[in-house]
Amino acid sequence: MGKRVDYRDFFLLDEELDFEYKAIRDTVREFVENEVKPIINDYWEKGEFPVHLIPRIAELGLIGSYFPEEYGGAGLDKLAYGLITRELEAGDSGIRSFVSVQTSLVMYPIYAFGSEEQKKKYLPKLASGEIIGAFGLTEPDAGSDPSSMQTRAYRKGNEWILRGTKMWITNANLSHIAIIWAKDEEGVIRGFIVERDMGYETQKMKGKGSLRASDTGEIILDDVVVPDENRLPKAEGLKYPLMCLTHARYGIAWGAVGIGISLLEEATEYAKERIMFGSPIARFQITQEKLADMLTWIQNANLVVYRLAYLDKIGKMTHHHVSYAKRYAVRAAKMVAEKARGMMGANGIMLEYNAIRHMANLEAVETYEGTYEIHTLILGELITGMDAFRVGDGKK
Amino acid sequence: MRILTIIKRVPDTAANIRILEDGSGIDKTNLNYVTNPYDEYALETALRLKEAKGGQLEVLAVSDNQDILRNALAVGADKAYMVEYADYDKLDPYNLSRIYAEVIKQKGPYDLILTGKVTIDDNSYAIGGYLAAFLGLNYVSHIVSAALEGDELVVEKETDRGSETLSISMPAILTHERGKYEPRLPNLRGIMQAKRKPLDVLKLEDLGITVTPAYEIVKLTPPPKKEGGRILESVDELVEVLKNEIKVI
Repeated sequence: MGKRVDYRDFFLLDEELDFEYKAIRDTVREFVENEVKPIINDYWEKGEFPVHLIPRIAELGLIGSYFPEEYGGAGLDKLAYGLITRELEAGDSGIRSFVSVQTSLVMYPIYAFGSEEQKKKYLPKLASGEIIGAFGLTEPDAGSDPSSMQTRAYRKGNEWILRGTKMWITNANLSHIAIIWAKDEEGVIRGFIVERDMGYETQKMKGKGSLRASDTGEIILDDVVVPDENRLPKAEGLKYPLMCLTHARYGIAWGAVGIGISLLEEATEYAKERIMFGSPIARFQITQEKLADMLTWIQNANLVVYRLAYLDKIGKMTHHHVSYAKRYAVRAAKMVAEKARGMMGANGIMLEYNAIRHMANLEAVETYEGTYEIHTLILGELITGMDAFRVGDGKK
Repeated sequence: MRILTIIKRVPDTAANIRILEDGSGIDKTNLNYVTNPYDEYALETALRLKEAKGGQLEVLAVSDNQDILRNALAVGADKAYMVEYADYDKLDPYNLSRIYAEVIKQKGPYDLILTGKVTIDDNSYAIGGYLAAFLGLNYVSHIVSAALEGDELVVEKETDRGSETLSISMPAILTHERGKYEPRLPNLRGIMQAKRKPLDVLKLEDLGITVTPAYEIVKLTPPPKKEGGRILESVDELVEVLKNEIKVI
């Protein structure tokens, strides 16, 4: 008899990891098993983010893992970050979103486009969870097309006046600082580190049917005065917020794999226990076909994200690779979730199992950080050389 | 203060253990290994003692794999020793204790030695007793916590007559019951620092001892399968079964 393969690590990708990576994976996995899963359904139902987990997440070093230790990070690479997000999202997309935003959308722009003073002032406190950050790019009328943003920054001597509204902002209500992207009077997009006491207001967005255990809100900037020293000096243009998104999307792709593998496991265990017509439903061919499809979709996605980590390591990862991975992995997870939910019948709609919660969460995950359609256009442009984002502008 | 914690690599408590068809041992394919859970409690207590009073915390395992020692370094141990021995999981507690004792003699002295009350793989409960005898140490088994009050080591253990608080003079060996506090998870910085901490690999020849196993496992058989329950239709039927079939009433 040949060696029996573990379907959860079908291509032995985890098995080949070095000790540190396995240890990181196990730490996050245990944290999720012991501290996230037992409480997450309650928070999801209440529509609240479990804020008591923030100090634990920080203490375990899960925030800002890929930044140098001098800035409060763990000096790790993107493979470790991927494993962290994969294991966190097996718990809930809201928990992973918190870490993605704090790490890739708040710490990353400060680290990459900020001054040394800004890095020293904010990064260690963000890594320790002492301050929470939000990323203000999306607006009520500027989602997939951020270049049409209405938020403005007016220069007045050594200060800037910020005016506008940001919407669908993760961590908005929890935030102590927000990275706000705004157009200056010449139409150049600039980034600002805006502190809460400079005067921005937030409002919780209620009534979500997805990502319910995540804090989502509006950020209202009503002539908020920001000193020039809080402008990100190296960020001028749309390219810079998009660079942040590339890092966050990378983690989302990994996270989707975490959902898929955990739901494949849950559905498999369920199918082996559930007796119908005198047999466990796992013995039925229709069930086995579903499981084989789920395995294929999600392990293909796992191969993709591992490859992504490798490309990053050798400095060859581009935003096209990340778009491919985010688009494919999230869609794969959605397909897995749908099958898992169905296989569990009526139990599958109960929050006691995880499929329905993940299924609902994945709707937001597929929409934010570049919708499925936007990533399709990014890849379409790569293949054809023709940009299909705008129609009717006379381009051929 | 110098503390040594002895840990053992055992199959994951959550793993579904399969026995090889010929009964010669367990099927190790895809088997996940962890630190013996009681040793984890011992390590947690050792870490707390070190954090409270300072000192050096070392860990020791007889194994063919460094992973549990790296984990111990990741949660805060300062130094690790691995005595390389491929069939460590088949070694009887007497000989295992001889190896531990030899390392302690050569690398010590230690003020305090901590380990689990039992290793879940062989269920022998013997290591603490052997080591106390071999090394002439004070010994308390089945502790749930330990703390230093001044220079005095105070330990708690649960007994049928109540919760005992004992004062014990060092050097001593303590074996750990399920603790009063949960073992910590390593954080990312700890995991990265573990790479840079010393891990000495020792061989039996280096220690100058030979091991002749006291016994070998002749046959391993799986525990009997649990039989399914029976659903009875009525209270009368239940009374009937209890009275005439099981004969308990």
